[in-house]
Amino acid sequence: MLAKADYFKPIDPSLQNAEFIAVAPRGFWRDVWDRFKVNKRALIGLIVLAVIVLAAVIGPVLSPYPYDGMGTEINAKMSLKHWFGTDALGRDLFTRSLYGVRISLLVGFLTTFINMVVGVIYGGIAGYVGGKTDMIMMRIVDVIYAIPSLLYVILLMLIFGSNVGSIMLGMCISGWIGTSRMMRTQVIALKEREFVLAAYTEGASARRILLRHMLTNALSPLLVQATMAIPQAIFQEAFLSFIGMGISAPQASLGTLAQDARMYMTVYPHQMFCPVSIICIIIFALNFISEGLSEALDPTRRH
Amino acid sequence: MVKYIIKRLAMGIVTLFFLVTVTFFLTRLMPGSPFETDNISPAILASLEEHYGLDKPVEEQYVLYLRELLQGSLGISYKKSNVSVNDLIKDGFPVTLKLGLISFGIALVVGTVIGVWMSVTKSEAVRGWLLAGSTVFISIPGFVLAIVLMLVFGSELKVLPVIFDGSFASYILPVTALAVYPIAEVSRLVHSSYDDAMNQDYVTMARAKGISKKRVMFLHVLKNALLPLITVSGPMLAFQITGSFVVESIFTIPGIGKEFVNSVNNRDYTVIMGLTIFVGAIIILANLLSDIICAMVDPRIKLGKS
Repeated sequence: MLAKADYFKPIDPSLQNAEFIAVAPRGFWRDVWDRFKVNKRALIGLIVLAVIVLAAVIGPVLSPYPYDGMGTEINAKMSLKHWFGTDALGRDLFTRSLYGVRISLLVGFLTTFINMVVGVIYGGIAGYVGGKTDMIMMRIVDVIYAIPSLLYVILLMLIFGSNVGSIMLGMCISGWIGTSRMMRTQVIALKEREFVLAAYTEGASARRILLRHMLTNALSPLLVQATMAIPQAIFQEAFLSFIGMGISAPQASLGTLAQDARMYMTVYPHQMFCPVSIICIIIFALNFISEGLSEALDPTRRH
Repeated sequence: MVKYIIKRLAMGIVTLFFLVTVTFFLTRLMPGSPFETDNISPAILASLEEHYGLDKPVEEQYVLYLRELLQGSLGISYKKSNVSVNDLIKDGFPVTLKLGLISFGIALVVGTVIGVWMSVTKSEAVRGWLLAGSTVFISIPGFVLAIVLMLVFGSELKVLPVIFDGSFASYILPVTALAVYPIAEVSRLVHSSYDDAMNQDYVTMARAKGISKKRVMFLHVLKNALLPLITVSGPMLAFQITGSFVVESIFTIPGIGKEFVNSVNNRDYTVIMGLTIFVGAIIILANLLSDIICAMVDPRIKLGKS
């Protein structure tokens, strides 16, 4: 049978687009955001955190009182003039609390960020190189991790004095280890995948494979871990300041404010109540965000 | 198995050595002589430094310290020359240990019950409230909880003593303050591992064989769901000990946590060093035990490899 020209006819032009996708392509992060925002608790957490961050950034500028300015009104009650009242030296507690929030957030976010960077690099190298190097690197990690970070922080505080820097340094000594272990496991699993092999055969450098191909794939669990590490760091700073080893006067973190109020706790409970509830609210918000984010990033793992 | 235990023991010893070395040299880096604040003449200062061996070169001091440590002596307080760190530990540690173990035990039991409840309940509302509750309780710092408990039950309602005297009633507040955070943590952990275990094939298998749902739920599933608890109990115990620092100083409990906070405030370097090493050693030991138990209980863990 011979094919004749009239056996064929041009295809209907409307069918040429059979593979056209009517919905605009959606990126991964767009999906994550859509899943995140249906979670009411997580969304409320995000809004509360945003308000607190905003207040901490612009609040002190608008406040009529400096954080270390002493006034004649001492131990004032909560009023319109002094929203949280004043302390034993007549300092406005609302302004001091806002500064405290700044320090807490700085400690929480900056230490977590540093720890993530260090952990990703260390764990990435250990997992990628493998073999003896990996073994030695991981044994070092085991040794450092076995000692609770609080002990490092206390020792460093005694050497470098009570300031934000030594607290953060202390928390960074062992804080990156969780991240490095997670990154290592991820890298070892990803090493076997085809896209990494493809990148390798195309001559991509180890750095490019690690940062471009592996880090992007390991990002979800790392992010979830980071959102859990931030409240931990804030916790620890408040705790240290509370037992008298944190930020020293006239600077104040929320923990220091609580410590100052401890002496007059039964007489002026609001001096304790205000900074302490702010700490709790910040940590609530962060924990809810963390929960929502882990669900949004990995919808198969409901928790 | 034996090889694994030996390996882990060796790691523990290396870690302990690292801890001692780091603590020793960091303490030597601390500014000023520990006696400077006492307003004393240079001659007395010199003789004091000689008495404590501070006039010798650092390496020699280090070797001396290690030798004393091997003989079980953690040194003598700089501030109170008749008190040794060993005495402080002998007096304080039983109290801290008792408090820690009670709250730890309560946390394990209550946390497991709540965690299983979260998993097996059919009511979404109950699950939601329990989950929200556990999030609330891991968001409250230990010292805040301790203070709130003290204010409410001690100062306002006056039903429980606020100062620790060893009686049963005086244990209630500190134990509660210490147990709440681990309860929340354990319940979340048990909840998620219980859910994972429920979806395993052996559950379907057991049900298909006609074993009752209750028996499967509380025997087969629970046994597997509790495995991760062993892994976290080492680090959790560490948390309990450091948590006791603040709870002990709030409720004036004469344990090592309170001694530690005092020594830091007094800059009593030998005590800081001694207690740091002691606390660190306890935690290393706890981690070691939880790793070994875990490897014994769970054959899936590849021995010798982490």
